[in-house]
Amino acid sequence: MVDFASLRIDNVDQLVSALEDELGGVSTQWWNANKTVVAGYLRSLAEATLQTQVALANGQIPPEAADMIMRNQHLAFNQTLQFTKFMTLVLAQQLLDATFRLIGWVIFNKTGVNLAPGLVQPTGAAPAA
Amino acid sequence: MTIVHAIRTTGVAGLALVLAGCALFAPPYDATLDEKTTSAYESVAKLAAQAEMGLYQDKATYPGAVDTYASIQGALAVAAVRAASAPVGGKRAEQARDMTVGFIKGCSTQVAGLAAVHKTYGVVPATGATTAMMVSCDQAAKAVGAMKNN
Repeated sequence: MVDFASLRIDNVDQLVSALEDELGGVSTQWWNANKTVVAGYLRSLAEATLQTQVALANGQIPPEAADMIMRNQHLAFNQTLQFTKFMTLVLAQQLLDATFRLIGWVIFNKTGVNLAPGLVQPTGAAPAA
Repeated sequence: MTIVHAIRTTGVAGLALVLAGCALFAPPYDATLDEKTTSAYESVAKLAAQAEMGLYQDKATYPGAVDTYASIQGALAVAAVRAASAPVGGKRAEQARDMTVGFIKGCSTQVAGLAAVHKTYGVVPATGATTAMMVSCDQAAKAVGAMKNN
């Protein structure tokens, strides 16, 4: 478990690593299933967070502006979590289509009957049954 | 009459429904929607690049940028309406369609969020102000194009 009181992050890689550990700690199963989708967005979040932190520390932006920026980041990461669910549905559709595209062609090539016109789109004449 | 002939003459329509590649999990690819969303995303990317180059650092530049924000928001609104009308074949595909609409609206919300920062404080480069918008709009574009080449 992270000791938040002593947490000192000096660069993007450290923050990415800490975030990955934290997400994996919440759910290893979720992290393993979604890390390929989430990794790039997590790095963007880490880079932007350190930019905001440095700008705030240097007085380039007031705390109120930093708060608005981080609220936008919160919304964006919430959307990223939704995006992982969406990509799971897309993958299911792609698996379904791939399966029945192949099956459709198997049947079409032997019978000339196209049972999956949305997936099987022959360019020439139907083969002889 | 062989089974093949029977299928050909009587049952093709019914059987085809089984294998038709219905949108059970995600809506089919829509090239027009993809084009509109990508175009809006490119405008968002240009806006972010201009902000990161310091064009909007002074909040006094906000009135001059309103047309840009409005143009992007209009394009995203059109895309969201089109995405909402995608044909679906089940509750999970409906959920995916609604998520796609949500991503486009999420992009729009982030454009409004950047406009609020711009109007109130100006957009100081390298402060993380544009990243959330780019992430949300990237996801909207990816969601719309997810079923391409499937």
